[in-house]
Amino acid sequence: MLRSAVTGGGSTSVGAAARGRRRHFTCEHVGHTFGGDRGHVVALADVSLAVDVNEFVCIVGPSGCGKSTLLRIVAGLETPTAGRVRFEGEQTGHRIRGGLVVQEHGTFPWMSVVDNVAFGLKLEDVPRDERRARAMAYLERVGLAAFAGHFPHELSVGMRQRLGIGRAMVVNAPLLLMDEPFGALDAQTRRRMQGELLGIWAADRRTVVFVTHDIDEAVLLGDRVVVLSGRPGRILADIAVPFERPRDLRRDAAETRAIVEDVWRLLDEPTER
Amino acid sequence: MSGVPTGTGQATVPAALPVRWSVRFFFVWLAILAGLELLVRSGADVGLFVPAPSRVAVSLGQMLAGGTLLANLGATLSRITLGLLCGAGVGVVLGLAMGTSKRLRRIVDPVVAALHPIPRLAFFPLLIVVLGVGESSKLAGVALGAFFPMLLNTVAGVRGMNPVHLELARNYGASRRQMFVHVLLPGSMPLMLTGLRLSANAAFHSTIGVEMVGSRTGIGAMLWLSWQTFRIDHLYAILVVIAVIGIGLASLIRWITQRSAPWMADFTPAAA
Repeated sequence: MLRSAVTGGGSTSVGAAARGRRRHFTCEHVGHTFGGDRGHVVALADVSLAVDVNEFVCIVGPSGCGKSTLLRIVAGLETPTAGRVRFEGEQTGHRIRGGLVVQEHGTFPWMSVVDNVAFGLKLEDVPRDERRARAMAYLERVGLAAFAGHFPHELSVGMRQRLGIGRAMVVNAPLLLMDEPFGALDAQTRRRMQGELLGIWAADRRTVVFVTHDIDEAVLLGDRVVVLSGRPGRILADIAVPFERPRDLRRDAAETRAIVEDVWRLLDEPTER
Repeated sequence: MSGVPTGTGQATVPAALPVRWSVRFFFVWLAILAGLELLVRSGADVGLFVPAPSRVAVSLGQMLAGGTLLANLGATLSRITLGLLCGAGVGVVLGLAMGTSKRLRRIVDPVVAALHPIPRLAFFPLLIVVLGVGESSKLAGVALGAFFPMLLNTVAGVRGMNPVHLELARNYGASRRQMFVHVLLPGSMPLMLTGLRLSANAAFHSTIGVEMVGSRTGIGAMLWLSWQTFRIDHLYAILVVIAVIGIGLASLIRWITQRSAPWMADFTPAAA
């Protein structure tokens, strides 16, 4: 089902191409409250967000602002206590909403590297040979083909993250949901992984929702940067980053730098809005 | 979660075997035995309780040649094996059920909490009353010993699963069966293997105990008989046999652990 790029609330998305875009999913006034015996915590309040197919959306915000919760709601792992997430057209028909990539412990230690990648395929009862072939193709893509028979504990942290990305992509889920995937990496590995992720994404486009607390990272990677406020998380701004990739914040364009500064300013302001 | 967390979020398994077969092991024991031998032969007054190691070795050889040792060893090993299979088997099944069902856990937990602190051998008289003096009461005694460590560790293994792994599997659309087979079972394997190791130990202890108290066959019975007939050399010989059984059992369990969880290969004690 094709739709024009008319965004509801929030702002419009300015992607690399100005052609008509297809909507992937929409968060409509999503709110989430964690209830408990000792009172409850409002994690998210009235978040409305439209994400187009093949768009790379970064979500930033202070820790505890509910950005992970929002991602889990989109993944279908959590049911929002207010509002809803609506997937467009055939996207809802897919058995998996999105391949999830998490910060740590994202690999199953009891499976070999190739079995880890093939995990989603195994659940879909894909025959063994096809499973292996498809998994190997993605291992090639994330640069781990030589480690197919190894166990995750034999890999570096960065390699394990690549493994997680490969596993999320092999199932053909149209949506990648990444929850601070590079949060546990050292600065150098992180830079390299960011470049690698963009390379993988350029070769095999998916819709990506990427949660991070690193503003530089968000501006470096995203078509859009969605800024959430502190608890309860609300959308402070939805900023398009209309620059060509690869971007480099160290020497690049003052405009890119300016966006980073804008986001900092938004987050530094007292959050009574 | 017990054990040291590792990079992969997996509990480690403690060393399966405290003793390492090494040159050091051999020489330390050689020194001890040679010292004892010299002490006894020198005619020093060491009393009745220290026979010469050579005499113990001869007695051991006679028992072996006479066939009594092998027959009793067979009885003991079969009790350990059957008791372990029954006890640990029931323990692992109930443990998995308790680990996944909160309702069951709430009901069974108080029962376990009350029964677990009782020394296993204390149940034996009751088992004889219920099951008679035959083989079944002995097996039940051994199985009871093996049951609790397996149960407790399996529950802990399931409960201690890294929630991220469960969530990932759910995200990939795992059915209940797939979740169990591909995630829950292998994920709780490290603690289940710890449970198996402790269960094997408990089955071994219970077997010797049960045989000493209420059996005419088995290594435990031989041990008791050698005290009653005051054959001190036999007593030592049988203790050697018991030590060998213990070491053999621990080695077997370690082998099983490495086979069934190759991803934990790194965590078994490394040779220096």
